[in-house]
Amino acid sequence: MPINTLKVSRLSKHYGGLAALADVNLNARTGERRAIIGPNGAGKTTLLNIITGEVKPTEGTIFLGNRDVTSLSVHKRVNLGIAYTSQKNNLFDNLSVFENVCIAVQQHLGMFQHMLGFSESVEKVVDSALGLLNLVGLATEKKQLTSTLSYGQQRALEVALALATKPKVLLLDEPTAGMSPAETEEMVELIRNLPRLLTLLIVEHDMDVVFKLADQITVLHYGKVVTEGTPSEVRANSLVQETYLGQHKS
Amino acid sequence: MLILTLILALIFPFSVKTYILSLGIEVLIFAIFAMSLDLLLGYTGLPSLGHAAFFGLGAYILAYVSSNSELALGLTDNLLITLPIVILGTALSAVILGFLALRTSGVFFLMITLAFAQMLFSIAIRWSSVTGGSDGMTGVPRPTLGIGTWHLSFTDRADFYYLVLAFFCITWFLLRYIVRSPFGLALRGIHANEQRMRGLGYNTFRYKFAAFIVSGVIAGIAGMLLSQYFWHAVPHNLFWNMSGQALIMVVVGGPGTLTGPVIGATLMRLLPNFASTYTERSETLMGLVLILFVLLAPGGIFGIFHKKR
Amino acid sequence: METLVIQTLNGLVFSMLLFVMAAGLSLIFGQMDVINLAHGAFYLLGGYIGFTMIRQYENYWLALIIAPVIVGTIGFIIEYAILRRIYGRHHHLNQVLFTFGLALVAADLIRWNWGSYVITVAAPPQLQGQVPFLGIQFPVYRLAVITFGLTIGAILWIGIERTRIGMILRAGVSDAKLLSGFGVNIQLVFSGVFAMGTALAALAGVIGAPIHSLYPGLDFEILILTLAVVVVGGLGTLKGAFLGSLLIGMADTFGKTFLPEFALFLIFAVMASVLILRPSGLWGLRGQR
Repeated sequence: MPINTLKVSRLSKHYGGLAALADVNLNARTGERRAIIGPNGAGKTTLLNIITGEVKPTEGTIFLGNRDVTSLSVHKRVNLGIAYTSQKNNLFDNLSVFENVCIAVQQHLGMFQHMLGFSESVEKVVDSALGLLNLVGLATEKKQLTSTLSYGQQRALEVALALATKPKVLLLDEPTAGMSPAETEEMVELIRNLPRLLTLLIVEHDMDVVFKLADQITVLHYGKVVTEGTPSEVRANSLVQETYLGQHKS
Repeated sequence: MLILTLILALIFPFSVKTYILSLGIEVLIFAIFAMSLDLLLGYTGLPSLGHAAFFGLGAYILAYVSSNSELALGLTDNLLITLPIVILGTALSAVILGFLALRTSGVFFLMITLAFAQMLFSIAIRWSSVTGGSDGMTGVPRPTLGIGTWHLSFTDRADFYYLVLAFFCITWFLLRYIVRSPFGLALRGIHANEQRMRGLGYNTFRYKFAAFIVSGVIAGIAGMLLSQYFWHAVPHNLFWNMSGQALIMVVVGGPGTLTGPVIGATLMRLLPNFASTYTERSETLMGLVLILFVLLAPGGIFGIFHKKR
Repeated sequence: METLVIQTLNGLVFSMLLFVMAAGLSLIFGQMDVINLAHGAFYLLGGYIGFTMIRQYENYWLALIIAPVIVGTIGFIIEYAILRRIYGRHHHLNQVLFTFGLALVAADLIRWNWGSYVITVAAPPQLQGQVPFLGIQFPVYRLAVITFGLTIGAILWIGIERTRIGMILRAGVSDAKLLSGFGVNIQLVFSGVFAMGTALAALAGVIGAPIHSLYPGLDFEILILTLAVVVVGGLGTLKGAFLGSLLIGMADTFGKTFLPEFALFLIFAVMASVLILRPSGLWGLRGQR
């Protein structure tokens, strides 16, 4: 695994005359917890969307390890190891938590394996699923229907589903949005417990969460990178203080 | 519990009047038909309004191969030959219809399956030179099973009952295996949130296609048994009313449970017999029952007795 | 040559009938996301009510107005009281099942009230007889149907494209919430749309009665063809309903004339071809479910 798992170079996105992103560079090392912060409209979500492949950049490249993924489809990037959880929950209602995760875990086996249902592979699926549920703290809820889960638990399940695809990079889009302080704490714990080799990109508005979790922070404003660095470096940066931390209510 | 049912099922022909035995055979045949629709509708969420197409096709294919009427080939009544032919024939039509219908979404899917069945119905009625028109194809014999000198005949009603029971059990265990497998889970995932399935990397078309074919073939086998039982294949087997009955069996019995459709089939074959002694409006009754269950008890009868966890 | 002209005209007549039906179905689906399998039953009901009124009051024109009003009211009540309760996950499926049950009940009740025999209905005296047209003798009534169908199409088009109500309708399901923000009572609009759709079906029923007669089973036959129209023409657009009904109306008429055993097969073949090329219909709203 090369040092830089995710390398975004000179990324730009123009919508007509409007530059949503301009010349954004970002290098995330393996296992890094990178937070992306900035005021609303700074381009954070656009950046995530370009990395996942939902949106095509106007300029720039994205490298996953040694591989140029800039022109690959969403589907292919998922298979190469880029996973993403959005703010909207998109689960399998009326199925249990356990079944939700199993569906995600078993996908890689392919349809014929699914039909033949060899007990060995099914056992492996079950083990993986249980492991994931333990990791995100939903082991006791595994038989519950997703519709009975709290919002925080649903988000945790979303993370489990994303992890089921065995990603190298996980993009979290505002994981604590809309959560109570207690739920936020749980989510922070969950993220802390994620595999150390997994590279995380977290878009967040909650500064407490950012400073608790991040190894590195990228600050975006008007589509440009204002600065990047460790939490203490960023906190000390006067430009950031003016434009962002000052306005920000946390 | 299962053993008890099995024992009861086995001694059934000896302990009841022939009339009840006949009903029993009918119920089992329709239970197979309803279960096949449940795989499609209850588990995968594909609302097919034309499932009678496969049911009737199975009946007509068998009739064409076995019947001694002048319209038919009258080749053989040996299941070792007729069964594979029925399976092949229905599988082929399922492939064609599935390929066309599954590229559309729910609403269009419904319309196409309905149109397909109706098309087969109108061909069966109009193309009298081949299908026997509205009288259908008569002279369908009860099946036999044999290789070389070994030979089993199912002409006697009790013997035929055991044959149907065997098919029912095979279908039951096969479908249970399917719905409990990862494949079955994937089908339920497609039902719950197809878009997410695709987002997870599933080729949902393939899964729906496979389910469609399996479902069609099983319905065809049920149709085959029906034509052997009644000694004829008629256009009514293809009629939308037949699709509707299967639908009601699944919905009222309990979709997505396999047991539900069996309950539904039992009810739908028994009730009209009783109801028609009191009223001519059995169709209105059927419609009202369907409406009631759709509005008030979407889990069907099975759901009423097994509250969701 | 004569046959060609006659059959083309007959095809046009049938197309207009199908158009009125398809417009109703498409309206209901396009604006409310509801698929109504009882649409054929409403056609038949309209026809039978019209028949009874004609027999009672000896006035075709009265029936033409009253029957759709009665059926439309029934439709309004059904939507208001029951259909709107079906929502949420699987709502399509449940609507299908509900309207299917409705169709069963309606068909049986119709049979109970009016019997199982074929009932013929006479065209109004002002439109009886034949006239020379394009080198052949053609029934006046059928020509009138063609004209009427085109008129209805024009009225609907103006209504949808040019009026405020039409604007609301065009906004459709997706912007329903937005509209209610503007003070529009969306629930009422939905009930009204459903009523309109069923009224159109009933209207088609009265118009079609002198041509096709009335009998149990007709509801289903016409439903199948209407569904074929929306599959081919696409759902949600008036243009799709119009062009689709032309295609299917012609295919059905010519099919029945030249290939009577396979008429429906021809329709299905048309449907299949369209689906291969364009799964959401030729002129449908793109990205529809």
